[in-house]
Amino acid sequence: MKSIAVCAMMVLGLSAAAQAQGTSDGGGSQAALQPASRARSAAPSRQPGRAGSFEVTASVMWFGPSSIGSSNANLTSNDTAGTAYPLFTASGDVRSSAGIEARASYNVTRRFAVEGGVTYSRPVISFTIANDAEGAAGFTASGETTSQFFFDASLVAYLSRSGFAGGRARPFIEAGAGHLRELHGQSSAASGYFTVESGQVYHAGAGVKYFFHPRRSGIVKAFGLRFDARFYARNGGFTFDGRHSKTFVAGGGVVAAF
Amino acid sequence: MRQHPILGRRAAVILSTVLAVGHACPAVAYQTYGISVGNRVVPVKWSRLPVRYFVTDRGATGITSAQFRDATARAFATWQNVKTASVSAEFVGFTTANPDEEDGQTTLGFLTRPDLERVLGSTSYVLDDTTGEILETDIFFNAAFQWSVASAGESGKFDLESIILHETGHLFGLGHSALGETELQSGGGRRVIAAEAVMFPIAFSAGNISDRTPRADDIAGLSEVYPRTGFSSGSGSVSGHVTKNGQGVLGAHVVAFNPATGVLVGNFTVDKQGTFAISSLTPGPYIIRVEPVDDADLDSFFDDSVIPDVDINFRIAYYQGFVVVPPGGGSQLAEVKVTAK
Repeated sequence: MKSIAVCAMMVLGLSAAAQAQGTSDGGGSQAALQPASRARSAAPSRQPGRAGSFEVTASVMWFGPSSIGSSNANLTSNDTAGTAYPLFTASGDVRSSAGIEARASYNVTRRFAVEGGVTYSRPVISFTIANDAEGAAGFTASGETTSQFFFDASLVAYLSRSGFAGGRARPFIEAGAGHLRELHGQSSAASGYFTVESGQVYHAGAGVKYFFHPRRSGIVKAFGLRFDARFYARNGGFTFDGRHSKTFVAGGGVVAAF
Repeated sequence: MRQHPILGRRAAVILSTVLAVGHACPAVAYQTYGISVGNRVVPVKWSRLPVRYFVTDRGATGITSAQFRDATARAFATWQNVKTASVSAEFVGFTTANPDEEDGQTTLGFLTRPDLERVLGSTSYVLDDTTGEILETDIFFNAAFQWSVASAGESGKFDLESIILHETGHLFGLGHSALGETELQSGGGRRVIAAEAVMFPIAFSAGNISDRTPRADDIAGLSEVYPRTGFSSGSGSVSGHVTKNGQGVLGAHVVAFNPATGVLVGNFTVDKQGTFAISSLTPGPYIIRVEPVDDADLDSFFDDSVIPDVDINFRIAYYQGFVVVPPGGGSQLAEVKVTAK
């Protein structure tokens, strides 16, 4: 009887505490099976992605380069139409940069989740001068390093039929919108104060979450990895021409399910 | 903060400045005027507003005195409508006085001066040389030219409202701006190719009405001298030095360009250390361009006493980075280096 009870516990994945309880009890096998039964029913409630559960992700992101347009330094021509006379042309680019991201998700159903996130990066905005009316040579320079924040909300749809790795990997698609905030300048006394540009960001993308085995106890029910690839369109913020700018963002990090 | 020119202190301070056709006659100006009082420079400005002005009771060829009065009122209203500045003027009445008499009243009027063959108009001041307060201003317009008050302008005639706007800019204390490009004319003088300031010292061609509207550079100047409440805390400045071979450059024209708004505002380096400051800027990143003064004569911008030290022998240069202008504060540039031509 004793050996059978141990075997059952191993199959059911019971804890050492349960094993000890079973072996010390006079009705060994029966006592051992009771906690095994509890473990079997508890496992779904610790599965990540279930309806009503939360997830938190911390990621490292890569922001691709993007153009922020061009602008002419225009004088007014001496003609009755007052046409523009460019003194020079400036074009701007946001260089690629690394950033960090934190996201919190709520799984409304097993297939859909809503999430909010904040993404922070420090891209260099460079500019190029060309077409100087008085013949000055053109050049490209690093304009400044700016602090860029995206505060956004997303709708996430899991592609249940595309799951793999025994269902632990869950691909998803996402789309959302949010607020763009850029801080220019330094906060040191030498260079004054921050100036702020704001706007909107819209994004769409896809990714995958891979969860390791659920933990048997604790607030965090499972850890996993998350990878994202998103396309962002920015409206507002610092641009040279007032138009939308676009950028690609990709990255990955650790996700914890609650 | 914009720098002010150091003008000679005189017992009776009388300044004059002109708007020229293809040539600039002697004037004393940076973007805003100032006079030396002791060890400091104080701005030349009205301390009591509205400015109460008279208009001479005679017009010019094709211009009635009533049309002249109305064009003057429109020009003053244009300055008065600058949202970031607080200026006002009040028409008192017609007068028989000439606009060249020191009589304690501000008068705008026509005079026929064929001898001033390139001068469209001129502004003169009587100042309190201890405070910089403007006590009297007279503006004359040269009736030797053909003038128009037609709403769309008239070919071959100078737009009176545009020229009044320039001269009344001086009346409020604005100096000349160097935001423009010119070319030498075969017959002498210069022709404007393009400009981005009503206060550019050389007028657009006859028939052009573009200068009925102040530009960012003009607005920045007026807003610095007469800031509307709250304007200073919402705007910022950039300052720094222009150097050549390690030495400061006097008289370099420094232009701040905001690529997000397209705004251009300029000023000059005002001392032998090459110090400049451009204020009344909307906060944000700016590109800084430095050029020698080569459009119009030096005396359109500088006092005679500093002209010998003004350096125009250097190439155009840009600051190799953005300058971020903060709200209610200043951004200090390290240095803009230029090289000799």
